[in-house]
Amino acid sequence: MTIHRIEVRDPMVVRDGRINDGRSQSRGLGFPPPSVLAGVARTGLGRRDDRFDSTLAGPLLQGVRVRGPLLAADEAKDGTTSLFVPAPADALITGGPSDPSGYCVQPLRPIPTPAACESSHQGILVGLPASEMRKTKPARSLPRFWSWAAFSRWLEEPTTLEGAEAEALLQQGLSPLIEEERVHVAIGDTGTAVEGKLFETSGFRGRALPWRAGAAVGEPRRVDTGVAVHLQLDVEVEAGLELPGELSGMRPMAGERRLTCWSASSAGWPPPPSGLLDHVRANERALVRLILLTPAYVEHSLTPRCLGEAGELLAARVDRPQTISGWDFARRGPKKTRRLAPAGSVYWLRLAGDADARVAWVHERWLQNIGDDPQLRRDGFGLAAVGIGTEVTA
Amino acid sequence: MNVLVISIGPVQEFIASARKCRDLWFGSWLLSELSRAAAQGLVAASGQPEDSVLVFPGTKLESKELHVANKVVARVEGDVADLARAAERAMRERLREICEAAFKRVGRGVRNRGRVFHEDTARQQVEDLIEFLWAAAPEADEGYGGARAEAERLLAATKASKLWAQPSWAEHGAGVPKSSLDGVRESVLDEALYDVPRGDYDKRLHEEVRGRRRQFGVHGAERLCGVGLLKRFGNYEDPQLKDGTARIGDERGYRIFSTTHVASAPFRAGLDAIAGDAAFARYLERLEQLCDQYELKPWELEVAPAKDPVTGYVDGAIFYAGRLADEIEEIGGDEATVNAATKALAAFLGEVRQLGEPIPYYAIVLADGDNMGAAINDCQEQGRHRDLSHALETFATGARALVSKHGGRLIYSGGDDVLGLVPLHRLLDCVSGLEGSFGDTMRPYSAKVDGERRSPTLSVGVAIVHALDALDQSLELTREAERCAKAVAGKNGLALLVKPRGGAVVRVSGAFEREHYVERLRQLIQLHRADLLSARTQYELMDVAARLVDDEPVSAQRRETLDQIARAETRRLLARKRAAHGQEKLAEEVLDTLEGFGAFDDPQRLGRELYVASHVARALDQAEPARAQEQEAAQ
Repeated sequence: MTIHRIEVRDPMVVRDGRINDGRSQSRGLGFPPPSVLAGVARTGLGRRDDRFDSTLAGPLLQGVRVRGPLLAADEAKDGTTSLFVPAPADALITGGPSDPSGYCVQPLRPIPTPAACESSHQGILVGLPASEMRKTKPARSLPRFWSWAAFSRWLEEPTTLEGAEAEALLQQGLSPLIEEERVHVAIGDTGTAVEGKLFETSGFRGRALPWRAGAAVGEPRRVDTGVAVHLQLDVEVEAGLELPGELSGMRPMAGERRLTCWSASSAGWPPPPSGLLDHVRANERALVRLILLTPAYVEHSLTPRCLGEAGELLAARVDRPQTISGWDFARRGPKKTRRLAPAGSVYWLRLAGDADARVAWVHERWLQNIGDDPQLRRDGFGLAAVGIGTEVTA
Repeated sequence: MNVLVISIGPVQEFIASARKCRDLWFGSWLLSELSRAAAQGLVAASGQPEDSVLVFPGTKLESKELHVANKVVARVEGDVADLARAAERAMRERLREICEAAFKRVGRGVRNRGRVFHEDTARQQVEDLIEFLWAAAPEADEGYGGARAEAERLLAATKASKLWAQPSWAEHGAGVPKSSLDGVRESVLDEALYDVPRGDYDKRLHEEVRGRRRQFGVHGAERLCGVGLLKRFGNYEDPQLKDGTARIGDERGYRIFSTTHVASAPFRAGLDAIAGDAAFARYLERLEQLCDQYELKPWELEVAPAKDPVTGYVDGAIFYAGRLADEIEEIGGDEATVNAATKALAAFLGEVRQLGEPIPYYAIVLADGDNMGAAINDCQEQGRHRDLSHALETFATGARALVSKHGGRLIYSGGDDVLGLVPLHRLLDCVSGLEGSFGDTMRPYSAKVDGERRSPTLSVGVAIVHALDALDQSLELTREAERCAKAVAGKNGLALLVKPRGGAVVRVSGAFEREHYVERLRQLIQLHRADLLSARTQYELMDVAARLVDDEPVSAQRRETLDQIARAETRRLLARKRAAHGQEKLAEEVLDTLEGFGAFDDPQRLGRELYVASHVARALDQAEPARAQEQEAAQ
């Protein structure tokens, strides 16, 4: 395992599936899908004498596996690095600065359908018991990324936080990466701009604003402020696979071939929280949550095949799918549409086996890729963390 | 008795995936139509009269002018699951009907249509589009109100676990470009349709291929999936447009309007004010001569929704060189025709030069009721809830008329939501009209909020965007504006975002009533129109604060110091400002007005407000050239 630090030098243009015909039709994604970084890593490792060795395409796809990317920032005070992860979807956040009681963070969890009630959903629902329902609507403009410290606490203690405590958790988070738009002109035969042929690109910068309550009101802040962030990606090369290239240095990435700077990092990723391991060890049929840190490819949103063997899949908190296509370099064309469970999605599982088997299960999944397609797992989709699960019983 | 709550989606993603106004309008129309079908199916299956079953929407489902929100609340007896399934069947049947009618129009008359249009895949994509979720709870001791709350809780839980699978229609999707509208589905138009790239003027090739492309409703290199084609070819009949319906018979495709048409409204109003009929007639005649050889005329590609006193049904797109060139190119016009048409436009604009260049900006307005949840929760009886539904329908119907009256175009008005496009010169009249109408309609429905009884109010988000900006991105900004409006303390907020082409978004917000925000903006507009401020003032005021911004929380002492610096700097820069194109010192009254508006307390806010006001002021000057001249003369 080698964690690479990837610094975004220019605004990264990572487009969605729309064709780009030189107009302002396609749009930038706010965060790169893992496959984009996997592609850059494989291209770098497959370079021989300054050219990509296309005979290595197959071995690279099979033998180079990535995990991530995770967002990270260096602490100004001591130079240590903090990780940030997508906001977990089982944290329901209501209230806000204009609410007299401030913010409230509540854990969504499996709930039974009350007697005589019915719904279109056949499985166990994910929500709040009636006694915990608040009258306020879900808050808007929340942190896109949670600090690892807040997330780690959420993994171990999925409990309700109110007022200052809730706001403190949120304030450790980051808003989406700052986007920068650039206007381009088409250059005609005479080397001058063609009248009316303007198009814009939108890219994310290597900076993010710390989340602040009420900041969504739109008070603009200086563009050069915010926290400098970078991406962390684990690149693992299969034992025995000899590759000519290396990853360190400047690498073009995604649309417009904007530059990123790659370097090997001495940082490691955190181990499973001890409270989680204690919970799993102590409880027969322990309930755990599997939370996605990168989007995962699953055949069916609520019943992924890959989770079938582990134990009993109890419920899932999954939003509408995120769609990707991508560009197939071998076939020189767009890939087919695939649907992904978005980062932040949560699956509740009841673990089977004895205490050692349950602990081993956690270690095997902790910050590893899950999903129903092995190639997409190798491409970095489905990075998962495990947390303690709770449920509402009838 | 059970309370059944049905939700039909997706809403935002589906409506927002739009390149043309037609896509946008059709998306919202379709959802309304499907909700209507579901409600009708439910009523039919229950065997009860409409008014004893439906709580929301209220009754009158037959009225085609009524937009039905994507949520249905009903009181039903019997097997709830059976009734919900009947509602879903009715909805899916209606979707198939609409799809059938739309796809019949795709590529009509084109040889080998089946080879170019992959209709089976298109149908599968449409079938896969709509999610239908429901939850029901029995009325027990807590009666209707308690059952509705429980059903809502379960519906929220149902929504938390979205059921989807990998799409079967994408199985053979490798190598197929994705839809230009949202990029999430494969194009169902064969690549053979795109033999001639956009911008290729070779006459031998373009006529047949471009003609064929037009039959498939695509423009340039645009790709469409089944859902995109449904939006492009769906519903040709708009019941709102009595004038427009007469123009449907030609089978070319019924266009509703363009963003450039809305943006051109101040210019068209100005043409009327200066009696520019003759100049416009000459321009149109010249275009007709130039495009005589082509089957279609560029001014027919878009059809204005209402008759303009000067330009009739001609779409305002022909006042913008870029759009005009695009349209002529698309109908097969060669480079010489494009150049000649652009010259004709330049000559016309020269004739009416007192109006200036047509303004390319327009506003998208998104309004939403505040404290509606509390007001609904306060309705413990079904009858009271239904009265509230009727009140909302009254507002929604009025909103349509109001937006049209101000030269805009309503996209959607259902429940407490309104989405419409509005020209800049009528923007403030329109939003204050909506806010007033909502307040009047909802006054009888108060509920306890933060310890006091309050009636629902309206918050309005407005995005002022360029007519050529991608519509989905403009809509996203509008939603951001609505979020800003909702973040105004105590709500009843108005937020305006301006997205200049190639520049950063500028945001302002305030409270309609508590801050008399519309009036405040009107006064700032007046300062611009009367030329009492230099154009740079707004930028310098914004800059004062931007230079003193600190993203990290700062101590109260440091904040006070920064504020003092900002005040001193604002005084310095206003003291050296000049008005009337630099001819005069800034009048004392103007300085007092600016101080009253908080120039020294919050210079950045005032700078941003002046910036937003300047956009509206320019539109007003264009629409009322005589008044602008009078004011200049008075100076």
